[in-house]
Amino acid sequence: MLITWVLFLIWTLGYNATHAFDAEKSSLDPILGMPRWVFFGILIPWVVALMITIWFAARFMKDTQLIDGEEDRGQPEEEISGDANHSAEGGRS
Amino acid sequence: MTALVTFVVYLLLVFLLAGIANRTGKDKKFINEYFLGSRNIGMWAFALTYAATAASGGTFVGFPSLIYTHGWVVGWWIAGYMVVPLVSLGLLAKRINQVSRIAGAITVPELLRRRFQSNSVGTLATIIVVFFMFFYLVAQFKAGAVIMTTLLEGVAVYQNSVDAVAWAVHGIPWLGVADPGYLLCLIVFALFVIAYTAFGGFRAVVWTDVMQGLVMLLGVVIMFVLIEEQIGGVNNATLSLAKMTTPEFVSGEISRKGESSEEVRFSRGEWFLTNQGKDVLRLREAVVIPRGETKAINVDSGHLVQFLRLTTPEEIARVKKQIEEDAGKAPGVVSLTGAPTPYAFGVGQKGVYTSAPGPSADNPRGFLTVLLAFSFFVFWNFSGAGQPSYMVRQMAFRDTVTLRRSMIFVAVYFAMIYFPLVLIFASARILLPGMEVDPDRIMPELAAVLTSNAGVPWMAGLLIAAPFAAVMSTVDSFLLLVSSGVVRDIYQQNINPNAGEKRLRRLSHWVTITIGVLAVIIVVNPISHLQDLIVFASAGLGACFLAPIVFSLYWSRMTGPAASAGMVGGSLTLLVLYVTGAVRNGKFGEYYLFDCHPFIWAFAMSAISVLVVSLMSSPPTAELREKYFGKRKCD
Repeated sequence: MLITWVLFLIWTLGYNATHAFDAEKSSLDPILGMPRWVFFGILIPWVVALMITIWFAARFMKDTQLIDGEEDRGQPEEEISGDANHSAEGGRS
Repeated sequence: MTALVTFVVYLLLVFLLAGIANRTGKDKKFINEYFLGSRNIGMWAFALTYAATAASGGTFVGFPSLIYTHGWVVGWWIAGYMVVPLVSLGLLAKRINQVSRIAGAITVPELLRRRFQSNSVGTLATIIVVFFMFFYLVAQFKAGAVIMTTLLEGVAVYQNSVDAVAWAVHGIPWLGVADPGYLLCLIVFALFVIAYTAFGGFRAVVWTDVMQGLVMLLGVVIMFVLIEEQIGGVNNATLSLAKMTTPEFVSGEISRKGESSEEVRFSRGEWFLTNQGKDVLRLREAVVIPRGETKAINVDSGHLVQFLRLTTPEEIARVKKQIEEDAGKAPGVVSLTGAPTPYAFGVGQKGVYTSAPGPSADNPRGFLTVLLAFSFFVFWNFSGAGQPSYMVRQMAFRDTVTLRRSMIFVAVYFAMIYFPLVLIFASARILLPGMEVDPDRIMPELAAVLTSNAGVPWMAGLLIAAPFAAVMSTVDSFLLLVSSGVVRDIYQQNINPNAGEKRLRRLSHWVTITIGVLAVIIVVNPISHLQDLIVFASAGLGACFLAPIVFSLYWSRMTGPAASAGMVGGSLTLLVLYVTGAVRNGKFGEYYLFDCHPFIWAFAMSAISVLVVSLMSSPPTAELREKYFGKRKCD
């Protein structure tokens, strides 16, 4: 993931450093309403980063069992689900 | 008034949710439940509490203010957020959750204390958390009060209450000099948040975060739709923005108009025409013409009155029309004196709001240089990953399936919040010129204008609930974090390790209340740059904790003295660079050594300190290594 971070750093910094500073031209060539450098230097990398994050979380990251230490064992459990009426589900994977 | 009703309904729902959360957690072991929700958060709750805590008053008050002031370049400034979920959750979450379970830790200082079996490491971490977090809290309380003030303006009950507050605090040191409207809103906001946080604990904070996270998302979506409809699309906004030039600062006098000799007050933000109607000015601070006097003076300084002068012809024409319609009502005439003070970068330069480095009032190199953009790309990812408030949440999720699903949700959520905010507030200049006089108010002002133009004023309450939700979800989390530091890490570890449930419960409630009240007292007369405080606190926490925590999770050779050295090295470097900045600039702010944000230097110093001191000190015992790394379950 650090390599991914470096790649996106290079993309945004490299593209914008060479395209975003031209006040006259960059302002007047909008794509989807935004300056061209914003589209290629921010929006597109953002979309690609989102895709990579989804792939990383859905496919790449492995599930592992999280083991409690002695102090945490034996606690009554109830999931905090965000739903006030959600009942206790218990049990960790 | 209809907006107020919507807003009050929202607040009541938050309170109801907190009340239910409070009842649900009553049968759990108190400390674990109150500060960590019994380490059993599900997917929606984890994702939304994580995202809502990240989106603070800075996101909905300070960040829009920057976009408005500097234009499209702020999109580059925030671009690092595109990989924040991947870096912060991917790097730390699974391992920190596992290690905190092994250690039985429920706070970040406690995690460090148990990992290194050192009380001094834990105490030092607590002090640093409380110190930096307090700045964050102060900024959030200010944001909450500012938003509420805007919502209530013009409501009769509110105006009467403001008069009553003004009368009640008149002559009282510290309180008496505060703006009574702001003071009233600050007190109401603080009472509300402190009450549900103190009595609901972590579970209430998480449940309210879920609702607040959804309200924020809804607010951004509605605002985006409304503004794009009213300005005729982003394309129109960008083309108009490309023609705009920076305003300039001028000073002068306001003379009485008419025969009356009564006191006349002018609020910040009032518009004036001068120079035979050629100049459009906006008042930058409240002033008064005292009874019997003919000219206005600045209420605070007694000097000349400060104005902002527009320079873009289209803006001037639009505002002028509005002022001329109200001309009969203006009780003052302006005459300018002295030379104008232009922006330090961007004067007369068309396209400055649509390109880098963006205009700047005080930096001759503009808002964002390439090195600074690099700094912020590092800053958002690594200072975010190093925030104890995020780490605590990462210690609380139920299992790794929850983590993976939450990561996807948070990534989508950030994309739907941050980038649309840039689109919205870059377009806001078209609807609201001259907001440089008080840019921190742009979000609530825009909400009011958009809903009023659309003929749905009640919706302003919902839109203003979005930043309010952001502020509340951050304040409650941080209040709890600070009080957990005091109760768990100072009182229970060092003063009374055998304290009973009842005593800890009572102490937790009182500490949360006391910290909230202290923050309120400080913020009665706040500094004006909200975002500066937030960046300072984030940088401090990130620089102090990221390297010690990451190394402690992944490097078995790391030692307790190294953890202390990392925290001290990071804090001192950051403080030195901020003090240098304050001395050089004459105001609170950072010093960009070689154009890099202080966080970069502080983080580097912290990481180097951890590495060097670990190798120089005695290695940890085999027993300690075995406990945390011998049967490592998380990779």
